[in-house]
Amino acid sequence: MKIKIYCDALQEGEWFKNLSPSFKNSELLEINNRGRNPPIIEKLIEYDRPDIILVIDGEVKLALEKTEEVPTGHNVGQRFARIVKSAELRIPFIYFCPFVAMKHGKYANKCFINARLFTAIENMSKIHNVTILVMNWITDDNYELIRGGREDTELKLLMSDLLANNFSFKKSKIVKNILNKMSSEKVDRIKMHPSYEEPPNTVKIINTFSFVSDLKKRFGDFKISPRFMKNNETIFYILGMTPENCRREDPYTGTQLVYDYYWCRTGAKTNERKRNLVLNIPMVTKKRWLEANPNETHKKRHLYYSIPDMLILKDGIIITENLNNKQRRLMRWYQKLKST
Amino acid sequence: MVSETQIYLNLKKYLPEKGWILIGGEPPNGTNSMPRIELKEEMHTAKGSKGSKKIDLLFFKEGYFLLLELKERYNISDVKKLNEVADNEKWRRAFILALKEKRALEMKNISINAREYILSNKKLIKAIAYSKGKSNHAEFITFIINEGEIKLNFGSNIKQEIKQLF
Repeated sequence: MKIKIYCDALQEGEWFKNLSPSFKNSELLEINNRGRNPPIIEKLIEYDRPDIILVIDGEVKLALEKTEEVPTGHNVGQRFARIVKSAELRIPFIYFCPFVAMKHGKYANKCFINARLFTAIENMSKIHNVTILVMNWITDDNYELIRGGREDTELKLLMSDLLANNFSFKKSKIVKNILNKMSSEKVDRIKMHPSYEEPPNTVKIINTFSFVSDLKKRFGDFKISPRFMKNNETIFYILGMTPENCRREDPYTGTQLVYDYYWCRTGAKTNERKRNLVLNIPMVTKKRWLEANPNETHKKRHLYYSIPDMLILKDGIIITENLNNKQRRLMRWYQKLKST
Repeated sequence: MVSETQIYLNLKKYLPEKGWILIGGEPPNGTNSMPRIELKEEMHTAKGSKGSKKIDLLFFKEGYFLLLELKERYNISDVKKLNEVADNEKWRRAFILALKEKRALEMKNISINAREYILSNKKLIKAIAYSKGKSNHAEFITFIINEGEIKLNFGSNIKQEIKQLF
């Protein structure tokens, strides 16, 4: 068995290597910048880089993200894009993070995981038919993270079980147990904050027909696909970016995907939605936006153009479907030109 | 030349072998299982980490704290940062507060007289580590890290009782 552990940072790779004696003689490799990795790794980091990618005999068995940040506030969406890419490729994903931990500083308090993350992950898992686990980094009685190895106990058991089962997540009893824990954590969080079942303040569910009519009054007529108009409802996500700070990817590129999987997506592709997904950036002009966030395929910001149906700016709109069709036409034209 | 991550990993292994207890720090990128030691000014109002000072690696041995800043190439900014932290009561207070906040000493069963460390910098050892460059700072310990080799330089003002801790 030839085991390769690809890691975003060496200490994370070493940590993962210690999760099983079977990984002892594995090869530890750092994930390089885009374009400098084997094809299987390149595909997986297309949206963002996970901390660990486990490859056994040339096949990716899982990807993993480890963070000491509780997924709440901006941290909910920050790491989501890397989970999505893994799911799209049907590679199981493990998100190892605290469900609750102490937040320090002026407003120190214990901080709980956002239940919307669980729902988005459940939906994504069903859509792509792949296992996605959110595992709790345990804390002590004071809600401080346990460190020094004890926090990895469940992960070690999971690795041993998966190795014994040839990485069949469906057969693993430990996986089942973790999925149960995720469900009960979600229930507990919703009991505590019923508002988690509703969209946050920055997200509105609006009527598509009136929304498009209003837009046309504001910006003049534009071409929109029948698919967009077929969805009665649209998710309208407001991004509070200013012209000065709009050259930014995190957390918005990931958060839009949380909302996509929570309220919109019905299938694996972005055109399979029961609700449209629209990003509203009301303080930024179209010129400033495109200058700060060009559609660069090697950067996370390309997700602003490949995920939502539309971006609304202060003085104009970008319909991503039209943009992507235009780009595809240009690409075909360029390839034809090159071949002649 | 070795990377900052390699320097970080080398020292995390090397110093505990010399009896130093790892208290906390922050890897150059990614996550590690230890508390982040983030010093904030008393009147800290900025959002997030803005204006705070984070220590790359922090160790403890026989009552001494070893504050380490790491870089691939020597950079004077590390020296300035540690001088500011160690030589200024305000920042020493912030240092103790950061340790208390994260229960970083409690987790290692270490108890100290906090006041002693706030009032004086005698038991704070300043150290820098790099792979390339040259430096000469009387009050610093310098770790020069290269493939498979760690070289230690003691500044001229480093006392014997400190030298024997390494």
